[in-house]
Amino acid sequence: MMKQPIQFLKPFYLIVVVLLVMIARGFPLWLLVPLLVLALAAPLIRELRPKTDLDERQIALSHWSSHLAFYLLIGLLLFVMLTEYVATGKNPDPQWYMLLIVPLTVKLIISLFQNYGTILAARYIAFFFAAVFILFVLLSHGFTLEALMESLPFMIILSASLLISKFPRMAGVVYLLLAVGLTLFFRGWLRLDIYTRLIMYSLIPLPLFISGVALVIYKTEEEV
Amino acid sequence: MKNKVRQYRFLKGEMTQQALADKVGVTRQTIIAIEKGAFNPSVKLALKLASVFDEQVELLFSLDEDD
Repeated sequence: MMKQPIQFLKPFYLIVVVLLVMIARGFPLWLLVPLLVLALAAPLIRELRPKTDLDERQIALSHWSSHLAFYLLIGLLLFVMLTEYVATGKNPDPQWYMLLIVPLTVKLIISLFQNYGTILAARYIAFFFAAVFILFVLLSHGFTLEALMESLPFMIILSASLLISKFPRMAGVVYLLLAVGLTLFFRGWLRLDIYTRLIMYSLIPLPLFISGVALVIYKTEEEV
Repeated sequence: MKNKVRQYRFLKGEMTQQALADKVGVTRQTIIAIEKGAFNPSVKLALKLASVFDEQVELLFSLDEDD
């Protein structure tokens, strides 16, 4: 396959699109979204297809620059939040926390799966959630029947995580069911604004959902 | 890491960087970076380069003292 000679077009497109909307007076802000999607579509499709037309050095450079840009973005967000806090004396609105937490959670999940593999990563995620949730329930209700009832969903995920090695697909289905259940819970039962809900989705159902999908498509040693 | 890609290109009848890049499926800039020592290729790419020059990979690439 012919390799793409230049690889900086994606950030260049994006900068041009944003500048265009900034400079062109009268361009409504909502136009930025379809323009960004259009600008991102071609390079993203090219990168996501099984055989990329970037070579290994270009991929390494692209990842490195994205990595630096990511941490710069996190730094800028913290700077804006701090500046706002100093100026107004108010805790920043949930959307600022959402902008910080969602990408960091996604990065953490990807790192976890890449470093430890499907089985261990899914198990660590279950242990973490079960430990935090059970601790939370015990602190609020003590050793009561109510506490036992409330910690039931995470008892289930804890049990599923212990069976991962033998029955990865079955455990994956349990993870997925719990992820769907918790998504519905955060959507319908709790009265949360959209930004706080997105934080909750990314912190709890998302890791469970990704673990579930990874476990369902996991191939055991015999299947490889 | 040291490499002798430039010397082997010369021995192969002054093969151009672009021709070598096309043979191993990378860009010319990547060949330039490898020759300068600015980029260490993957094992796969190193093996492909060695195969183009019909040589063993350890003759093409070797470790520096500080590696």
